[in-house]
Amino acid sequence: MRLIPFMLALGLPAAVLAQAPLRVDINAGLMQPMPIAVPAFAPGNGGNTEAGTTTALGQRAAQVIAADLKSSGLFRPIDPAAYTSAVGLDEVVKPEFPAWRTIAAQALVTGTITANADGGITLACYAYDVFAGSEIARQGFVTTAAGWRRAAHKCADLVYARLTGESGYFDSRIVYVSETGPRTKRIKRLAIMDQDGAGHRFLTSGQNLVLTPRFAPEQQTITYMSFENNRPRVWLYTLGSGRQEAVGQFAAMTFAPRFSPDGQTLVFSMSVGGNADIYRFTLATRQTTRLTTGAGIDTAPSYSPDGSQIVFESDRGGSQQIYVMNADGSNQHRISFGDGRSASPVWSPRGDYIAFTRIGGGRFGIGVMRPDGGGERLLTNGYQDESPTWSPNGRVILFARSDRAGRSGLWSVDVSGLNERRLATPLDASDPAWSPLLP
Amino acid sequence: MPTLPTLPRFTLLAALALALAACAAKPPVALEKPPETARPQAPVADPAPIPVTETAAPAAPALVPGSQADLRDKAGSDTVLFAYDSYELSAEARAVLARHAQWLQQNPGVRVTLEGHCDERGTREYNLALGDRRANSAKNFLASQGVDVARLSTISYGKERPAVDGSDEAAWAQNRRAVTLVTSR
Amino acid sequence: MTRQEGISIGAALAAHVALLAGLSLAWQRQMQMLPSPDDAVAVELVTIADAPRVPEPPQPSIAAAPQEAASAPAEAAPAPEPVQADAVPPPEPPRPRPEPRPTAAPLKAPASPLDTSSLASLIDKSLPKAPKQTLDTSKLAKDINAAAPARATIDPRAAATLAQAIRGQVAPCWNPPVGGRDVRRMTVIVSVRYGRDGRVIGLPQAGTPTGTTSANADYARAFAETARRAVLRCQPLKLPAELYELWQAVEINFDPDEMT
Repeated sequence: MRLIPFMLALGLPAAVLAQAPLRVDINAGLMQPMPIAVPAFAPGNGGNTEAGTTTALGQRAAQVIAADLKSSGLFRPIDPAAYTSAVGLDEVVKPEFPAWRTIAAQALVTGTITANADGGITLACYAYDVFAGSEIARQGFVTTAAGWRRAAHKCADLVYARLTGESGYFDSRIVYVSETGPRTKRIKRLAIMDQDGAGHRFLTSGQNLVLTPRFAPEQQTITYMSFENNRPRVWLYTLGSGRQEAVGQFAAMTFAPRFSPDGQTLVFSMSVGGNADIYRFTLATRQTTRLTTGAGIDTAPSYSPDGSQIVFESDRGGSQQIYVMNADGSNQHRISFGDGRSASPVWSPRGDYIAFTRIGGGRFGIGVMRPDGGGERLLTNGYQDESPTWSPNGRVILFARSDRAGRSGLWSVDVSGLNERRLATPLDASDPAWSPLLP
Repeated sequence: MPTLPTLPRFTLLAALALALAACAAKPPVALEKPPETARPQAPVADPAPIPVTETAAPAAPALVPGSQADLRDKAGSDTVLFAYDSYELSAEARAVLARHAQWLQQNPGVRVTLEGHCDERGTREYNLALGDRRANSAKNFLASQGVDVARLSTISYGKERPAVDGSDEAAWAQNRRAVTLVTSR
Repeated sequence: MTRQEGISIGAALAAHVALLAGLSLAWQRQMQMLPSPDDAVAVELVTIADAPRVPEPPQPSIAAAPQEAASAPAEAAPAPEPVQADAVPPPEPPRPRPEPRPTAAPLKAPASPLDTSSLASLIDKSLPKAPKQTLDTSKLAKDINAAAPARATIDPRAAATLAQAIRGQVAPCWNPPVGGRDVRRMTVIVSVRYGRDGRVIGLPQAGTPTGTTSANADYARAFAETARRAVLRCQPLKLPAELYELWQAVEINFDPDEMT
C-alpha cells in the first residue's frame, strides 16, 4: 500500500454563490488492493458430478476465483472467516449489501454451481458493487465437470474486467521449460500448466534439450527449439496429440522462434556460418524470407500485436540493443539507448510496451519501454532475470529468475513494477511463455 | 544429447595438467583456479540417454587411435577458451587448434564436431548465436590449416552445457569454450 | 449485464470459437496433425436468470460505511462499531486557537491570509497515517465564517478551506485504477448531494471521464466507478452544519495526475 501525498493545488472559483455546487479537486488517492468478498458458490441443486458435489465445487470455485483476483495485486479477498453467513441461493442474486459493507467489502462475487443432466455443470457468476448496492456483471458458463476450474477462471476474468476496465487474463496457460539436475547436465522438459499453476504436466521426456517454447495464437500448437539428433532447430508441438514436427529443412541452426499474431507465419533466427539473422517462415507455403542481413547477431524477434512490425535484438552496433523493423524487414532502427545491454524484447499484446532483459553491472533485470524506445522503466533486478513474457491483457510480465547457485524459477511482476511474486513450479523453471486467453 | 566420453582418469589428469601448463602462459583474462574447478566435471558414467560418440571406452587404459582420448592426449586438450562475449581465437587457442588440425591429418578417417559454448552471463538466444560464432571460429581455423570442411561440423549449445558448475569468473572462463569432439572414425 | 448484452457477447464468442475451429482445421490439414486435443475443454457462455435489481441503493448507514481496520480514515468510522471498535479510539478535539483575520485579503491568494494552519493540520491528521484525529467542525465553521463575514457571497478562501476539508475526508477512500493504459489522461467529475447529516443523498452521478474513447469505454466506466465508490465509502462527511448550504451540493473532480 502506498500513501500518495495530497496536493494543495486548487482551482479556485472567483466567487462562490451559496447555491452553486462546491468544487473539490482530488488529485491523489490511496493505492491499495480492493477488498472483495468471494463467498462459496451456492449449490444450484444437490447434484453430484464426477468432479465432486456441487457444494464442494462451489467452495473450490470461490477459492480459485479469490486466488486469481489476489494474484493480480489489485484485489484483496477478505478472509471468509469474516463473512457473517453463508450465501444461500436467494442471496446470490439479492445480496445483503449492508452486511458486506460491515466487513468493508467493496465488491462482491456470488454464484451457483449446478449439475446438469448431461454430467456437465453450469457455473453462474454475479458481481456487485457493494457501496452502490448494484449488480455490475453476470455470466453463466456451461462446461464439463472437469472444466469447473476454467469456468471459475472465466468468472474471475469477468470480475476483473468489470472492475478494472481491462480484459482479464486468468483463463490462460503457461508453457515453460522445466529444469532439473546439475547445470552441466541439466535435464530440460517442456511443461504446461494453468496460469495459477494448476493442471501441471510435462510435454516432453527430457531426452532432448528443449528451449524457448512459444504459443501459437490458437494455443493448440507450441513452437520451440529442440536439440533432437544433435540438430538444434525450431520445432512445432501439437497439444493433445503430442505430435512433434521440425520446421523446414535447414542445414543451419534455427532458434528463437515465435508466431505471428495471425498464426500463419513463424519468425526465427538462423545462424549460418556463425552469423545469426532473422527469417520469416510462412507455414502454408513453407516459404522462407530473410529479414535481416549483415554480420551482427540478430535474434529474439517478436511481432507487434497488429503484425506490422517486429522487435528484435542485434549487436550490430557493438553490443546487444533493441531494434524495430517492419514485418518485411524494412526500416530497421534502434530503439534502446539505455545503460548496458538490452535483449530478448517482447511486444505487449496491448501494444503499448516492449518488455526486455537489461544486462548491466553484472545483473539482469526486466524492463519495459515504449515501442519508440521512450519511457524506459526497469521493473526487476536480480542475478539473472530474463525471458519476459506478457499476460494476455498486457498487464503482467512473467519471467525467469535464476540465482548464483543455478536454481531457477518463474516470477511475475505488474507492469507498474508492483506485486512481484513467485509462481510455484514442481521443479526449476525457465523460458516461460504465456498463452493468449483461452476461447 | 552428446556427452563427453568417459575416459580413464589418469588420462584426464594428464590432459588437465597439460591444459594448466598451457594456461600458465595466458594473459589473466581467464583466471585459473586449478584442480577443483575442473574436477567435478570429469565426465563419469553419464546416464544421459543418447550418447552420440562411439568413444565411450570402458576403463581401458590404452588409447584408441582416433578417439577423443587420443585427441586430448596428442593435442594436449580438446578445448579452447574465449574471452567474455568474444569469439576471437587467442594465440594459444590457435596453437591448440593447430595441433587438432595436425591430429586430424594423421587420422584422416575422423570427423569432428566443433561445439561452441558460453558462460551464463548472456541471454539464452544471444548465447546460442555466440556459441555458433565460437564453433565456427574453431572450424574456420581448422579449415585454414588444411582440414577438409566435409570432416567438420558445428553445433552451438549456448549456455546450456557449461563445463563447470559455478557462478564465478573461474567457472565462466572454463565455460566460454569450443570443444573439438570426435563424432566418427 | 443485460440479457441482450449477454446474448450478443455469447454470439460474438461463438463466432470466435467457430473462427478458431476453422483456423485449427486448416492448420490440421496443413500440418497433418492429429485431431481433438484432449485438453481442449470447452466453456460455453450462457445468459443466466434475471435477478431482482435493487432499485435504489440502500441509504448507507454509519454501520454500512465502515473502513478497513488497517487503513481506516478516522472520520469515516466515527461510530463505535463493535466489529472494529479497536481501530477507532474516541476523537480528541484539538485546542482552538483563535487568531485575528485580515479583513481585506487578496482574492487569489490561496488560503494564506486565512488561518488554515490549524485546519490544515486537522486535515492532514485525518489521513490514515494519523487516524486518531477528527475534525473539529465548530472550529472549521469559525474559520470559514471569519473569512466570510457576508453570507451572500462567500469568500473563495472559505470555499477553498471547505473543499480542502472534503478532499481530506474523501481522498483516502479513492483507489484509482493505476497501471491502466489511459489512466493518466482521465479525470472525472462526480456530483454529490449531501444531507445535513453529511450523508450522501441518492446515488452520486459520475460524468463521462475526460479522455474516454470507444476503445477505452470499459476502462472509463471502471475509472468513474472508483470515484463514485470513494464518495460512497467515505461518508458521512463531518462539515460545519451552519455552512450546509455551501456543501449540500458538491462537484468533486477526480484526477489521478499525481499518481504514477
